[in-house]
Amino acid sequence: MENWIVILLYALAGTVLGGFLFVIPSIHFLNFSGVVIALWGHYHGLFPIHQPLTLFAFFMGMVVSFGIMNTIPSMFLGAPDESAVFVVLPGAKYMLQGKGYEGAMLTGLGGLLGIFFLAIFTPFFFFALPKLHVILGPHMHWILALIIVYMLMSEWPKGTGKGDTWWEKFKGAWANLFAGIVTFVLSAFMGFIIFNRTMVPVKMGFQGLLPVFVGLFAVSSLISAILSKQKIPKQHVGNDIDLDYKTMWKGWMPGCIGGTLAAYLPGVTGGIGGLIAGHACAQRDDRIFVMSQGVSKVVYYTGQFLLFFVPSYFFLKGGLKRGGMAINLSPFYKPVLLQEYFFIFGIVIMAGCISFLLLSFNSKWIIKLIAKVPYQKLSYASLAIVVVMVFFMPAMIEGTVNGAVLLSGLQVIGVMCVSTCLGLLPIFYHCRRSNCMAVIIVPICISMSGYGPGLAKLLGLG
Amino acid sequence: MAEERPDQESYQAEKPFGPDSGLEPPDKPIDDADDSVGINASDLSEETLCPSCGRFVGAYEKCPYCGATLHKRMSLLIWKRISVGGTILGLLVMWFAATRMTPSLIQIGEIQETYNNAQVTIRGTVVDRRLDPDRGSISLTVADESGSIGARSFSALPEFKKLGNVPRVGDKIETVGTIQIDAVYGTSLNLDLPHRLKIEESPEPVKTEISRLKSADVNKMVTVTGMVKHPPRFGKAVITDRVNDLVVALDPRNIGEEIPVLNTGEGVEVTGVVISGVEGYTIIPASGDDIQPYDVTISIPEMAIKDISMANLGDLVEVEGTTQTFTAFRSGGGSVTISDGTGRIIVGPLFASIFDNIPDNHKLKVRGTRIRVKGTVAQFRGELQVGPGSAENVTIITPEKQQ
Repeated sequence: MENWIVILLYALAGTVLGGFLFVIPSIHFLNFSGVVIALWGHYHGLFPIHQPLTLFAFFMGMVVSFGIMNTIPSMFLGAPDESAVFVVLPGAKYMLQGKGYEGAMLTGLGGLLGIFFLAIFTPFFFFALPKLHVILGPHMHWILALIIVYMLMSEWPKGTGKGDTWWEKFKGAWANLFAGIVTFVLSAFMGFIIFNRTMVPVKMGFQGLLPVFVGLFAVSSLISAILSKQKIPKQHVGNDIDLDYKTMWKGWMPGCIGGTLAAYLPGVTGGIGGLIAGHACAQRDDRIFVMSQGVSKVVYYTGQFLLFFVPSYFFLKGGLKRGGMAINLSPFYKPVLLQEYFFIFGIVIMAGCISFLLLSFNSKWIIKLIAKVPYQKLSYASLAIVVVMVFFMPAMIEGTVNGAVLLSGLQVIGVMCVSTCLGLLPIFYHCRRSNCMAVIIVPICISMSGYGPGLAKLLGLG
Repeated sequence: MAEERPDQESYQAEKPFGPDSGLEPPDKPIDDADDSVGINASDLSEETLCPSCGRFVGAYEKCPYCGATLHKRMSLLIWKRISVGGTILGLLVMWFAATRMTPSLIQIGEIQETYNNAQVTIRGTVVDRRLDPDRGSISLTVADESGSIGARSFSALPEFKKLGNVPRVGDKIETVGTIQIDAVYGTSLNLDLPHRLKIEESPEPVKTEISRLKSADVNKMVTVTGMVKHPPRFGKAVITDRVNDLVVALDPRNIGEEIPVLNTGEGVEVTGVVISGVEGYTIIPASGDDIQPYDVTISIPEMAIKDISMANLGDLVEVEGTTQTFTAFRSGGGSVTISDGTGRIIVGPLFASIFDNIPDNHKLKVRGTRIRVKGTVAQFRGELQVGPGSAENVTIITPEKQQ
């Protein structure tokens, strides 16, 4: 491998840039990758053409740092992405107790353990995964269907069912659940429209889901943060955390299971994987839960992208593409050498360790910042950044700003507004935000089952 | 040990605000106390206090003490209704727009990496087709003025057949599909909507000559006539008009299993789409019926071996001579050196598939056997040779008895 030092420097750049960038609420590495790829289309010197691995190393550094660093906006600024939705409530509890730093470090420690998990089990991926894929591949659609059923049913029972009349009791018991089901169904409908029609400009096809996800999770969270006006008590920054090895193990295992499930199954994200694993292991301690979510997130994001590097000759039909990053980068290069896999894995370990250190550093100054600046103002600023980024994405890809491009930007913003309204439903009606993931999991399930074209025709989308 | 209770006297002796208690008496007598500012005012939320006078006002919109107007927090109910209404209305608008919109028509040449997963409409000519009825897959190559793209579906062939819109090579089509870009498999169009493929036109072929083919004929249907120069091998044959050669693509996945027999020297008329490639022009027929025998008066010159030189490379010639030596190949077959008295030339390569089909082929190994060969002049390691290409082009004239 030529010029491995150059590749390493790109990895370092991605890690450090991600370490500071993903502190901003609602900035996702997938959104940012779209910006970078759009810029690369115009400035080819950004990544050497003859060394495509630099691109992958840069983004792998970003992916790893995102997996660890997105704890900060989730916990301190109340703006989680879909993998961190379950961290927010226990994280908020930590914040209200003045233990936000400890909560963040607990999640970060979970992320680091997730990378160690990947390090231990990587050799098995080559041999177990292709064989597993041969067995599970044809059955993926009903596995996803089972997960969908589980997602909906695991929210039951809920509500107290108290009231004077039968209607009040019924409403009390079912209001939240009904909201969850409605969110799920509407998200699935939206996903079906998006998958069967390119609602963004054609040149932006590779970022077709960008406005949807930004609206569902990022903008809705920011609006919620702006409306809440919650006051955060003074945070304590300690030198140690309340954790023992037994608790660490109990947090590590479910996170690894959840993250692996999420990394392998299409359409299943870290949040859903963590949910399944959390229920499977049935632990009650908040520390275990927070840590397991940290493990799950990193194993999910990093593992998904890492699967792309498993040499394709281990698979019968070529490589395995999972996750938006692999899909975004697959047109540019397909790693084929075993050597490349191990090199990228070294980058994962390096990026994980650096990101953990940056997490500590960034948590401290964020705590100081939110003590001085009301986080509603930070939320307003983040909202502005996100909206501007989405609006100007067509312009960045086109490389110019004109009437047609600005109109395309409005088109994209329109889609984002609809998904924002959808993302606000679980916030206001107190149901699970993971129901919004129906936007990808249901269309993928239907498509894999072979009923996609038929249903598309039925809905007039064929 | 149980805790000792203080006795009555010691309890009464302790007064809350006495000099021994350590507690300070309140500043004001109870009668002058401000009712609105209670002892626990700091525990009250800001929204419940009047910002002008600081008194507790609760849910009042106007302070009863000082008359200040109180700003109330935005009701969450409004946001709830906005989110529900916005979602339903927005989805309906999106659905309406989606059912009305037509995927953008693009030129194939403008597709780049950022188009990945975009649903588009393309218009062009089918220049190649592969059908796999067993797997149900259909694969087309569609070309327009700007480029070409592979369009495929792994399972929709039965649906295409049911709809009756399986295009043939040469058809002009318009189709909707999703672009898939992969570093390994390149750019392709996923034909996931069989009913969106429209055969716009099946153009009539234009009659022309092989030597007159030009770039303007690329992606167009033509009919040419010529003589078979190389019989079918590895899915291709070559025909010639003695000026230029033309490759004929004979992929059974396109034209079916019934590929017509083509022998060197026979005249044929081929109808198909012309494409340009590294081998020059290639014509792709739509079916076996597009290849018909034709009376072509193109003769193969009979040449003396001494007259054949490097200038004749690629020419179709006929030579006659007697076998001198035979060199066997490890995998079967071999090559024969012949002489006509003017010179020597190698006849070959006679691969096992050719050699085994030559009648009385053992006589080729015998010195002095007279043979006649039709084939193309080529060179191998600087030595000229005549390649017959098929067993039919080698004729053993009269076997001579060994002295």
